[in-house]
Amino acid sequence: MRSSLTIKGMVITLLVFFIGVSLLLLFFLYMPRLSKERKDRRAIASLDGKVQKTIQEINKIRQEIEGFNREDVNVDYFKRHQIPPEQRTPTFLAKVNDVVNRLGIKTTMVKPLPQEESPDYIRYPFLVETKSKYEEIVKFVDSLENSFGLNLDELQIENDPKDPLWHRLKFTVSTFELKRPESSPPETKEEGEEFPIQVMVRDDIVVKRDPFLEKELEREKRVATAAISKRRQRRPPPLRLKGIIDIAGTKVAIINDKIVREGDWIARYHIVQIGEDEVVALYGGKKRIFKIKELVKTK
Amino acid sequence: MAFLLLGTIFFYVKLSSSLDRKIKMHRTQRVYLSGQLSQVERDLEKATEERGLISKLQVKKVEWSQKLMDLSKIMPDDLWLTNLSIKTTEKRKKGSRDVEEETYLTIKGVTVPMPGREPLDSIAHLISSLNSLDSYQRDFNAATLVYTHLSREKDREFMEFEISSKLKDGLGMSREKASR
Repeated sequence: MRSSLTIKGMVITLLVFFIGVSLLLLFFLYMPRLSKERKDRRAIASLDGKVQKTIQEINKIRQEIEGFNREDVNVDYFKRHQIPPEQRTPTFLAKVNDVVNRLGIKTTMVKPLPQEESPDYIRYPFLVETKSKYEEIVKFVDSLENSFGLNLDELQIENDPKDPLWHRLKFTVSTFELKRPESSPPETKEEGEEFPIQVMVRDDIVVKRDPFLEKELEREKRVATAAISKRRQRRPPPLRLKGIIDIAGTKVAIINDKIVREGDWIARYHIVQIGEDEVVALYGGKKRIFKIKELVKTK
Repeated sequence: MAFLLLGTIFFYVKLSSSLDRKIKMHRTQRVYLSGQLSQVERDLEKATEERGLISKLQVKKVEWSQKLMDLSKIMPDDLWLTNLSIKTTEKRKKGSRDVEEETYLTIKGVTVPMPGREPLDSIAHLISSLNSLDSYQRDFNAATLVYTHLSREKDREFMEFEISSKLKDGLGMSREKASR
């Protein structure tokens, strides 16, 4: 009887001990870890959510910035056209020169002004001065605004009492470049490769009246200049082709001591093809061929 | 019973070590995500700054070619211009050290008296035509007369005048001065 009681007591004691140990293990070993693991999981989910939300916000802002770049704004203009720093001023000058040649504007001065540097950006200003007729001024301004996507600051048009038909146009044009050290530098182009700026000059702009000219005087001058331009149209200006050079597979011609490429304009001629020893140009829609060292005489 | 006890202890230890591994993995993940979060927060800050700067620097398009074309259409016959300029001037705000930029369009011209028409009528006509032009209305406040001056040259009377109009806020040279 005593021994059976002792065994029963031992079994109960062991059972209680077993349950006690199990509960101790459960509460002091497993549960704190489980609770910590759950807490960590929640924290990770929260962190991940924050990261995703921030990335979404960044993408939204990046899209807005891309949108700015797609518009014709004067921020990062050179980078957008992948023009390396050393070629910025020459490219701008060449393109302005292209417009000037196409419009037949004779006097133009383009001067790069000192760059303005701030902690966030660099401003590249250019001063442009020209003397031309009002219609040419409008076409010139239109071309700069629409081909280059740049805006004009500090514009000034002034008439010259001694030469009432020709007006002085003076303005500054500028582009800003943001300083982004983390962004990759613009790709450099191969020598002779064209930059993706298409210069457009609108022929459909017709100015009804020159506002800088007295109406009576304008009528007289218009009759006189119409006669001159008619004579000029009949007699294309002479061009002297001095040579053709092959630069890395691209031919350039030396005409009237200037270097021209296919697509360039010179003295109202549009250069359409540069061959081995000849240049094909269009003048008033008519095709003209110039041979090396041949002095082209006007009829 | 001893085996049962050892089995239970083994089970809990095994379970706990598995949880420990998970916790360790989570810790690494948290450190990585915290780093990623601070990186993306820095990126967000930079992107926000960049956007703000572009907006500030972005010169809103003021299409001058259209305005110059329109100007030629509205000119009265007895009037012509001598100077047209757009200039930005700096003005110090009252009671503040801040400087604000104001851009003005200034048009100077001359008119000659014609029979049956006063020179001031032509100037008034030019101002009202300018103010009714869409291309000007969009970018400029109403044009106002600054001065007129009557002069005589070679038995001919001239009236010189100046018209001025302020570029609307947020247009034109809305940029920070680099030197400032």
